[in-house]
Amino acid sequence: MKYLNKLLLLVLLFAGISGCDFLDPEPIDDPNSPSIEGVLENASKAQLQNLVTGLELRHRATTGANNIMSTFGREVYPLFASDPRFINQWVGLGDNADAENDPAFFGSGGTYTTPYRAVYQANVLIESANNTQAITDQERNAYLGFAKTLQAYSYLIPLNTQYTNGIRIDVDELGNLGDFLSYDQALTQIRALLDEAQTDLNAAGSSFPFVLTDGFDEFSTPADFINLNRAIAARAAIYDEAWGDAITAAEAAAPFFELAQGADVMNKGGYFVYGDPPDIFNPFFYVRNTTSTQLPTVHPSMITDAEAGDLRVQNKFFERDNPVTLQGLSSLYQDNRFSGTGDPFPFFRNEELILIYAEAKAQRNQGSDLSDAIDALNIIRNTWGLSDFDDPLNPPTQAEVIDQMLFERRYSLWFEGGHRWVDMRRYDRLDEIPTDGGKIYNNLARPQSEL
Amino acid sequence: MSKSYYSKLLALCAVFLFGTQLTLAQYTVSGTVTDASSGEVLIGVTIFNPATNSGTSSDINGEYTIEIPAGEATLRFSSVGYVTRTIDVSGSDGENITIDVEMQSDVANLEELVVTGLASSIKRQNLANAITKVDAEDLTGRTTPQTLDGAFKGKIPGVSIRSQSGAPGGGINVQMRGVSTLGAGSSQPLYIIDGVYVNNDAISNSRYLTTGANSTAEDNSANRLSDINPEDIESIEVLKGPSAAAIYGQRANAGVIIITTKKGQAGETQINVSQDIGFNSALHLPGVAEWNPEKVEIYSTIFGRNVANELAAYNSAANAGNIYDYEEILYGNTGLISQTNIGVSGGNRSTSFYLSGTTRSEGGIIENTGFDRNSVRLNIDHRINENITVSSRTSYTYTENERGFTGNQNGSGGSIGYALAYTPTYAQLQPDAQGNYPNNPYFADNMLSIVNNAVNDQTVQRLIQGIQLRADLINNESGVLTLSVDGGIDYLTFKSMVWMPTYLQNQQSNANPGDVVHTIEDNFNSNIQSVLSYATSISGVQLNTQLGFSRFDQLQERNVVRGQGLVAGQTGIANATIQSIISQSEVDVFDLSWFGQEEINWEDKVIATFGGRFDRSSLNATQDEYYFYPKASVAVNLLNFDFIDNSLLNQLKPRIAYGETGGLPNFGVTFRSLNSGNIGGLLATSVSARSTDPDLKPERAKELEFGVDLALLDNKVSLEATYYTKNVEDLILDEQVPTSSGISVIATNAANLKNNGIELSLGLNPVNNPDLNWFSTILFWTNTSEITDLSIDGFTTGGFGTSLSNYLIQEGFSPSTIVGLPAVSDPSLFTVYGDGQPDFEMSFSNEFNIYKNIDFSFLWHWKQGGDNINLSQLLTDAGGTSPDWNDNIENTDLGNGVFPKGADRVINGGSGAYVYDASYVKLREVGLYYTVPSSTLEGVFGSSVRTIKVGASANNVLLFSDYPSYDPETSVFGTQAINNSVEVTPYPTSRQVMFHVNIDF
Repeated sequence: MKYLNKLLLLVLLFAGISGCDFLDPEPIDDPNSPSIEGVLENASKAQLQNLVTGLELRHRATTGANNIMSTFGREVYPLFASDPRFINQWVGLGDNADAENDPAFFGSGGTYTTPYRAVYQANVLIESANNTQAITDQERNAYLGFAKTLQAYSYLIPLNTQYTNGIRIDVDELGNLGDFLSYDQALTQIRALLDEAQTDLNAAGSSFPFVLTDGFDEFSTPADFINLNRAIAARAAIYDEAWGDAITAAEAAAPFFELAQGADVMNKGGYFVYGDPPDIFNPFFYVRNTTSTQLPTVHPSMITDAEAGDLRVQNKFFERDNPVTLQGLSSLYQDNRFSGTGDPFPFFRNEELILIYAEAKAQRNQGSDLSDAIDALNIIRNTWGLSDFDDPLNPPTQAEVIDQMLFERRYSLWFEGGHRWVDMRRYDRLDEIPTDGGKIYNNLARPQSEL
Repeated sequence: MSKSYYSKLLALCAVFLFGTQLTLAQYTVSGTVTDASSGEVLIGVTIFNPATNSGTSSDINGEYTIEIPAGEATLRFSSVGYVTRTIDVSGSDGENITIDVEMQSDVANLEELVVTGLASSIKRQNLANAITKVDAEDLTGRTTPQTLDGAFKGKIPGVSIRSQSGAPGGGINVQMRGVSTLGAGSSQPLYIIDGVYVNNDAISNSRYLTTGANSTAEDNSANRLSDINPEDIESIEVLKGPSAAAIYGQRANAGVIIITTKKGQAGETQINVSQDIGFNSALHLPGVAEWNPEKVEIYSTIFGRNVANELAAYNSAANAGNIYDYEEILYGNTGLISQTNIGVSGGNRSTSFYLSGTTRSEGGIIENTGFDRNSVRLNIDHRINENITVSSRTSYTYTENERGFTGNQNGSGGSIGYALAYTPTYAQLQPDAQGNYPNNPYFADNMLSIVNNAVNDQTVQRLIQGIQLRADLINNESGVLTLSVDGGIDYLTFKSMVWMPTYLQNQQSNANPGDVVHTIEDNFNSNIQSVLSYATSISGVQLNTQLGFSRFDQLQERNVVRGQGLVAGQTGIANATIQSIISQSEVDVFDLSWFGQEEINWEDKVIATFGGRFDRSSLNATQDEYYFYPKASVAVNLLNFDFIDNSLLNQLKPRIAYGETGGLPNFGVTFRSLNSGNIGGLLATSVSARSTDPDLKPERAKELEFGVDLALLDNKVSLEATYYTKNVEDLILDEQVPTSSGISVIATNAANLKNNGIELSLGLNPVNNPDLNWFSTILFWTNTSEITDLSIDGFTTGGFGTSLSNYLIQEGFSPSTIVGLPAVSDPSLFTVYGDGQPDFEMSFSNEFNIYKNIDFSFLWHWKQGGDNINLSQLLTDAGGTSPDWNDNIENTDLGNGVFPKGADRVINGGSGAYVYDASYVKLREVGLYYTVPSSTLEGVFGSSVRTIKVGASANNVLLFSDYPSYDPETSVFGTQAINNSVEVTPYPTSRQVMFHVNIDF
């Protein structure tokens, strides 16, 4: 009978593991991350703070458009040896390179998908702030004003790269996406969104109910944040050729907007901050004289076209011991702006605002506008060690001022998001950009996922 | 269930266990069992008397004795590899009868038992599916394979097996009957070893972090079947499609491979010692282009190197005689292989054991690469009494793998193959007298320094424990009720380190030189299955009913940490300037199943089976929903009917089978998550770019297979012919939603796919006499796939984007279609350049046993068609090093766009230039063995040595292919459903030559 005992033991063992949880276990939740559903209803302030910081994170990721757009404007060469398509496709040396018609154009996600992720994050923040009792109405306005302002900033990136294709603005709901709006319609809506954000911020009290990173030190209260909001509105206004509005917006961005000399004055603004892990490194910092063939380099025309003594050239371009060469493109200069992996990267500086002001004034050209524009441009030139560009005895024409404005923008805003390409297109001068044997594109094709 | 139910059940068992012990009048039958052709005695032949349900087996001398109740009886003599014989006897009480029995060898394998249910097997002659069984002799008898799955090549019709690289430790993609998933579910078969669901993940060491490659897929990971010692394997059974594998339900879409390890036999303890010594050398090195002043000038002009500097460098190197073939320096080495195996087995009537220890050490063809595997195994079978048996299968393995640095990188260095592509022969990379390596001016790495200084090591410790219990709860004349409980655990710990020391060229260009990545991954799988089966017979029809339950659990924990900016010589994270946690993640999964099956056998004439399985899994979107997977099959043994004259034929069996299986979504795709991140010291949660489909179902494959099995001329010719059509429905794809939504992908059921194929297996025994026994097997298989329905827009996937060619997912096309630019308005979206799947595969294996003592065998494998995207050549073209780069250099006219061949290909070739036919013919295995005659042995050693066998063998012996690289078998992305024929500077395949000594005591 000893075997019976053993069998009994085995059967009992079997019975033991056949308990309820064994046969009908609890569902398994994501063991690694919180869920979206957890914040859309009754989010706590702490959860909203994480979403606000999340929007900063997504906002920062929009630097993903910098390399490709700055290549299109020939501010840089994309000397990334890892893939010949950086040069074949972006510079357009390859026979099949056609950014305007290739919906899967190489490496273009940063111009579209990435900024729209920031838009999505802002929408989730807006929805969460609207669906919680954990905050006051005044606090709610702060969340909304913050979210909408950064949302508008992001919309401008696909708008600039899709250009005449137009973009979607209404993207709240995946199943019910809004139509593609024309360039002008989209711009109107983006500007309206900024105005709406301004209204929200005006009703947001004197301090934010959330904390922002050091990159927003200049804009850490609702009142100061309105300065940034207006600065972006000024940028959108010049794209819209609404010169009067641009001047108004720029002036409303004061005290951030400051028409004065000095590097510190120029560099005031909003920055993307970086750090050591778990943060990320500044993606545009490269060791000087690196032997890596995996870096953007200064387009040679930036050197040859420069004025002697321009501190911007000295500050921004580092002359290497040896050139970097790839697929027939070569440059002796690399980016000199950053001294380490933790340096911040600007997303809006006062210098741009001064240039926007100068452009709008020169374009409107009423009363003292043209001389205001000349003065503004000279403030920048004097700051960077250059003399006034105008001869007071023989004042420049409007066209000459505009030419000068574009020149100053080229050096002042070099490699800060691809302004050159957008500027030259705005003035219908893409044909003045050196082709390097490749192509200068007008815009990017609508992405595959939208077709 | 209440407790009282159990006590009743126990009481019932007790009655049947102990209630039938009666004494009867009986007589004794005894004799010797021998092999009919050789006359050698046969050990372990089962002699069974169905009338009393009792039996015995032949002993070490081939002798047996069995007691039989007085009167007539029919004894059944059976043994693996021999045709079963039934012999009628009769006798009276106390009589002694001698019957010597000769057994015919089962050339057509009709007697072989094949698993068809979760607790039942069936004789091959009654089987309704084309299930391939490969035994130890075919797996490891010819040569010692590096990994078990590597030994499958060319031996299983319907299965496409591809090595991803030649790195020691393997890395193998096994695809059964075409494409079963488009990447969401598992593309690899389910492996079950002795009842334990084992982990076959390709565990990443996150090497991509140090090379800048795109993802873990490019880490050149070995799949973990490499931990299994091939020497321990008794046989494998391959359930290729749903019709055979339906009883495995939701994890069986890519097929099931059932592995059985060796067990001991009752009798004298046997000791087997084998020692194998051999070496690895490169199978095929295509060579590199020569350089001369003219070429230096042309190349430098086209690709923007400084002509004067390069000419000076070339002349200085050429004058000093310092021109190097770096391919030969890197890949031309010989790696030593040594394998020692000791096996001890034996037992008595109630307990048998198999104990083995194997140590294999293998050096690669790249210096400082290699694979060591040390394993021990103890298999015990114990019969508690006539009705209860328990078995334990325990194995522990420790592997060490130095994987080396090959494959893709993204400008940050860390791949010697990639750097080699750009390095001309006149580059000076040799170290100085102090051992310092100069920088490579042509790429981010000095390959020689990487080989000698960088570290890419991984170790795995693994314990697999299986337990099986069989208890006959009822055993009487009306039937047998058996409880089978199978279960076990597979516990695996993976540790790896990738280390780029501070002084490497690729590190010196970093802000924080020195980079180390440590990965630890723990995997714990456990499964248990209980089956009640009842076998009975009603008026000549045998019925076998099974009902069962199973549960599978998987728990995985993965930690990856990285340190950058290291203290010189240090690899600890604490010695890094920048310390980061790359990943700390868990996977937690359970599966639950209920199943049933009915087998009906009418006198071995008609054998029908039907059954089904209800499965649920936590991987599904609805975790508590059960999905049903049915199956049914019929086989008809026409010769067992009287109406066919069977003087010529031994078997004629048409068969048909249908079954459905599932494919589960990947872990994580059913969760809608917020990702955490860090910016400026604040914690961020940002919305994931992945959203979810609440209606997501598992993928479902429905397969109809039919065929005929034929044996004739005394089983000397056997043919198995099978046609199948496998439709995979509800394929899960990442739907690319408009990214303006901020969401990029949603896993959804979006496609149906159809695979059709033919499998032929012809076995021949053309010569069979004592001096020469010749077996020949010819296998042929082909598969075509087509996407029959796609509810989302067609798209391209894999590769490195469409401009370098990748794969098209579109209705009406095979999912392995290779397309590239330019885009076209056809449904193909882009220009079609090829297809990754072969047109057909064939293999031809022969075994010769000459004068009983010499065994010679070889295996040829022919793969026809199937294209690769050869981006190694893209790189060597850009670097001027492709072997044919210099062709047409004499006509170069840069002004008019006339370039040398290699430059022309990279500049003007377009997307399709690197798509190549990857057909090959390989001599996979050759073996030649001599068994010392037993008479000689006895003269020298007396009876202490049973057999001595010596031999030589080789693996990957010959390659015939027009494919312009190391080996048409390659995949930079590792194990993939679709994206598995892209090449980027892989570890070259090696040829392995081995010498063997095998002694049985």
